[in-house]
Order: sequence, then C-alpha cells, then structure tokens
Amino acid sequence: MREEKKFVISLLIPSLFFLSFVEFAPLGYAAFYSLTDRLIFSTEFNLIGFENYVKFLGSERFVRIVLNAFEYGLTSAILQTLIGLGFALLLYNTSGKLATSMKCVLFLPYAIPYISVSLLWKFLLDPVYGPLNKWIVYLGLSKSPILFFSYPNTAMPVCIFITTWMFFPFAMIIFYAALKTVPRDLVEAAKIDGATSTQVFKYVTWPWIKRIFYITLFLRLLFNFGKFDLIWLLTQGGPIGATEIFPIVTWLTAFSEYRYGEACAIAIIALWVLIIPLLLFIYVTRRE
Amino acid sequence: MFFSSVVPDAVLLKGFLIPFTTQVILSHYDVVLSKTLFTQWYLNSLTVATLCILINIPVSVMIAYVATRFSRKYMFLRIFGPFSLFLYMIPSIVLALPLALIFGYLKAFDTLIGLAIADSTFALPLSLWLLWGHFSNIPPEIEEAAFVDGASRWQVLFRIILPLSRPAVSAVAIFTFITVWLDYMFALTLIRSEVRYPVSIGMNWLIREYSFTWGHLMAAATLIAIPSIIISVLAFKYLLYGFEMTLKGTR
Repeated sequence: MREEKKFVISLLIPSLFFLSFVEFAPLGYAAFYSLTDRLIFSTEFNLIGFENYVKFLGSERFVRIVLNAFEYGLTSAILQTLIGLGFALLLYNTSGKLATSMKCVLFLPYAIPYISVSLLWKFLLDPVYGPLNKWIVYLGLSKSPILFFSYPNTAMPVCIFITTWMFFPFAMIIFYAALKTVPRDLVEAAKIDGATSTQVFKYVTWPWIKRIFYITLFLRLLFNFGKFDLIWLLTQGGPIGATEIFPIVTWLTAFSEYRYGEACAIAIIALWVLIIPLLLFIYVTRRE
Repeated sequence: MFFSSVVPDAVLLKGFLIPFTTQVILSHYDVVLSKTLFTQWYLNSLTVATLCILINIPVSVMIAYVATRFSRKYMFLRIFGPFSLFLYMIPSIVLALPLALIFGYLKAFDTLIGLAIADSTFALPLSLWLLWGHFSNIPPEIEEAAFVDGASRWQVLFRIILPLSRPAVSAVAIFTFITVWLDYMFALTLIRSEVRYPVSIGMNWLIREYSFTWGHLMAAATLIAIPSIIISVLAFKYLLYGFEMTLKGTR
C-alpha cells in the first residue's frame, strides 16, 4: 500500500509540475496581465481592471472576428471531417498494395510544414507565375489573373480550402482506425442478410463510429480556432481584416502594437468564446 | 513544389500549363544550401524535435499511466478525460505570450531547449489522449500476475507495460516529431537570433532579406518538407496502430 502511494506520487509530481509550468503558469500570467496596461518592452505597469476587456468587447472588430472565427473554424472543421470520412471509407474498401500507397499519398499534406504549404499554395495561386492562374486565363474563365489573397471575398474561402487540404488527413487517419475497430463479423452478418453497402454503412458502421465522428469534428473545430500559423503565413489577417481570427489579432496587438496587456485580454476572451462550443459539444454527446 | 524547384526561373516565368520540361537544374538547391545558414537551421530543427520527444514521452506516459491505473482508487484522477480536452482547447498563442516572459526570467528565452519545452505543449494533449486509450486497453490481469510473482510497481511499468506499449509510444513520438517540425508560431515568438532559427523561421528570413525567386523558395520548401514526409511514410503503420488501439479503449 505504502509502496503504491509512493509510486503514484513519484510519477505524478514531476509530470504535473511540468504541466503546470507550461500550461497553467502561462494561463495565470495571461489572466493577470490582461488586467494591466503593460507594454511589451517595459516592466512597469498599472492595474487597470477590466478596461482591456471592455475596450475589446465593445469594438466593432470583436463582432467581425467572432464571425470570421466561426466561419473559418466551423466550415473547415466540417469539410475536413466529411472529406476525411469519405477517404477513410474509400481506403477501408480497397485492399492490397494500392491501399498502402494511397494511404501514404493521402497523408502527405499533413506532413508538410506550414511554411512549405503556404509557399506552395502562394506559388500555385500566384498571379504571374502560378500555374492555376495560367489555366484560368487559358480556359477563358477570367480575362486577367485572379489575385486570390488580395480580395476580401476570395481570401477567406482560399484559406478555408488550404486548411482543409492540409488537415483532412488527420480526420482520415482517425476514421480509418475507427473503421478498423468495427467488428468484421457484424459487417459480414449484415451482408449475408442481403444488406447493400449503403445499408451496411447506415445501420452497422455509422452507429459504431458516430461518437468518434463527433469527437473528431469537435477537435478539429478547437484546433482551427486556435491556429495561428497557416493564416498568418498566407494573409497575416488581411486584406482589410477579412481573415482576422483571434490568434492573429492577439499576435498583432502584442507584437506590432506592443500592447501586451490588451493582447492577454484578447487571448482570454478567445478562450471564453471557445467554451461555448465546448458546452454545446458536451450537451450533444450527453444526449446521445 | 519539387518540380518548380528544379526548373530554371525563365521557364517558370513563361509559365507552364502542363508540368513538364526537359531543362532540369539543381542550382536553386545549391544557392539555398551554400549562401544561407540553412544547414544550421536544419540542425536546430532536428535538435528541437528530438528534445521535445524526450520531454513529451516521459511526461505523457507518467500521467496517462497513473490516470488509467489508479482512477478507481483516487477519485480526482477521473477528471483526466475532460482535462486533456481542456488542454487541447487552449490556443497556443495564449501560452506563447506568457512563456516568452517566463523564459525571459529563466534565461531560457532564445534557446533551443526553451523552444522544445514550449513546443511540447502542442503535442502533449494528443499524446496524453493516445496513451490514455492505450493503457486502459491493457488488461490489468497481466499486471496482477506479475505482482503475484513478486514484481514491484516499477518493475511492472518498465518490464511489462512499456514493452507492450511500444507501438503507442512510437505513435506518440512520430506525432510529436511532425507537430514540432510543422511549428511556426512558437519559433517566431521565442527565437530571436539567426543562428538559433529553426528552418521554418529561417525560410521567413529568406523571403524578407533576399530577393529570392520562386525557384529558391520552392527548393527550400522541398528540403523542409522531406524529413516529416519520410518519417510519416515510414511510420504511418505505427501511427495508425496507435490510433486504433486508442479508439478501442475509448469506446
């Protein structure tokens, strides 16, 4: 008994210490500095209460960013999970060498670093060099090359598209693994009873993986919400704020406007905006 | 991407509707490798990834193992599931700002080890979740049999559980490597001096400082993508197996 207690404590203490160092201490810091007017390069600051929060929540920018965040996060999360599920089903139903190589090829986008992804797509969509624009002009879809990243109404869809392209493999691999846990005999039994493959999916496979589907969808939503790298590399939140989401605004406030306190407040607000989908998620999963 | 890195700029400017040309050059690679600190940045990235794996695996193994084995006895360990979800929910930027300050106090700002510690927050939640599912899948009877034979808790962990978890742990390692290799944000926040840049930030520097052409950029982008692509192709099997075990456990 004593040995066991010692064992548990000696495992938990170092790991929890590390966790609190990298996760909770920063959160506490951010929460504290969000109440101050600290600038990033100065060590002096005053406590100013919730002024930062009021200022940001009252600004027009806030509404636009929430809308952007949901547009970006939700659309690409849904697309990623659906496309991932589609490919997972495709992989599940093919076999042999073809399936192995297909798995690797389909997984590739996820293994390419953000910087390479952004450069690749910037090149492909480049108005002067980009092959895609050459094709568009060649086929006569548009008279002049389209500047995808320079118009507010094309920038967001392009960002969503690239995010989806990059991250659907993550959903795919989870669904593929989930499909492999579906008991074979259940599927066989359904087939012997004369079920078509649509029926097999609807009545056997889908109920089995439903929970994992929702979890994945939700994980992707959370992930997209907090993701900074891709949008930063593609548009830096521009043109005129059309692709601004929370992490981008936080970064800009902290490192180009140097208002550290305000940036922390924005980060904390972003966390609270995330809690709403979390509660929704818990509600949905509890009901099922 | 690879194609445009081996083609002369003139061909690239003329544009191609079909990606095919007979002119293949390697000078873009040569310029990137010899005129910049690219190899240094490359090594930096590899160091950070390795350090991060070395940090991440022990921490997630310790927490996940305790949380699965003793949750019946110690109630507070049950919050573990929602807890790992909560960790996943924290946007990295929220951590990046304070970590920059904290590392400043600890003299870890602008060091590779600091970056590795920060990067591990990316991979921790998912590694915890993976290992948690895996450990709850190992039947406790195996351990009990070992206890009957007189093994201690530590022996069971090192001699039985860890060898059994090799696929899951490798999945975690691969996953960590990929996420660290992909990272851009922490490196941008926490690294200032040129010699310590990881590749991703190095690329950014190339774009800013030099009038580099698309050919050069694509060559560098290809070089950066190679390790994570190779690793994921080689290790896809383990990653898949790890997820499979985990999902079996969480159902």
